[in-house]
Amino acid sequence: MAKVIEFTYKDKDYTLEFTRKTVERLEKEGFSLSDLGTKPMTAIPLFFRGAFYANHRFEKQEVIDEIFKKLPDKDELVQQLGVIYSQPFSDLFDEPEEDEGNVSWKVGKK
Amino acid sequence: MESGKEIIPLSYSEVFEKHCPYYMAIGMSYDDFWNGDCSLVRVYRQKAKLELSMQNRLLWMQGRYIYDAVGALTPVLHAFAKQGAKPHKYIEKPYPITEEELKAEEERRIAEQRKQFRESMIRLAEESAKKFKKGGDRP
Repeated sequence: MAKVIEFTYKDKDYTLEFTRKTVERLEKEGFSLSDLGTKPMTAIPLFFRGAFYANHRFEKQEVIDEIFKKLPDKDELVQQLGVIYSQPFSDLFDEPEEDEGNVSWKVGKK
Repeated sequence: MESGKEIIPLSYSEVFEKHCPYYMAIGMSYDDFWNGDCSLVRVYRQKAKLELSMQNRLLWMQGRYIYDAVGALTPVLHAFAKQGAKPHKYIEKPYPITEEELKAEEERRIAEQRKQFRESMIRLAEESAKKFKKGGDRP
C-alpha cells in the first residue's frame, strides 16, 4: 500500500497522497525536492498543495492554506511528505519490505 | 567528467514515462500506473516473475512431452528400422504436477509395487511347490 498522511479537519477526512500523475503535475508546476532546502517559502506551500491533488483536487486554496497553518510539527510533516512524494519513484526499484504504515496527523488549533 | 558533458539526472516524471511501457507490458493499466496506488508496481513485478517462472515450467514440460514422443517413435524413426517395427506406446496420461496428483501417483506406484511383489511371491511359491512335488515323486 502507498503511504499516506491522514487527518480530519472541520469534520472532513483528508488523505494526502502522491500518485505518479500528481508528482508529474507538481514537477510541471516547477516543483523539485531540492527546492525545499533552497526555496522553502515557495516550495513548501506548493508541495503541500500537491499532496491534495490525488484525493482532494478540488479543495480550495484558502482551505489548504488554513490547514497548513494549523498543522503542528511542520518540519516532521514536510519530511513525511518527502517520504510519500518519493514513494511513486522508489517503488519502481525497491523490493517489498516491511510496511511501516501510514502517518496520522492531528490538526492543531492556533 | 570524462566527456566533459554534465550528466543531468532524469526527473521523476521522465523516469515514470520511461518505465510506463514496461508496466503496461506486464499487464498494468495506464490508469493504475499513473493514478493508482503507487505501490501496485511491486505487485505487478512479482506477478511478472511468477508468470515467467510458470511459463518456464510449462515450456520445460512441453520439452519432456516431446522427448517422450520422440523416444516412443525411436523403433520406427531410423533408416534401418526392422520391417514391421512398431513404435512404443506414448505415456498414457499427463505428468502429475499438482500435490494431489503427485500423492495419487505415489500411492498408485506403491500399490503397483505391492501387487508385483505379491505376484512374484505367489510365482515363487508355485515354483517351489512344483519342485517339491517333483522331488516328492522321486522314488
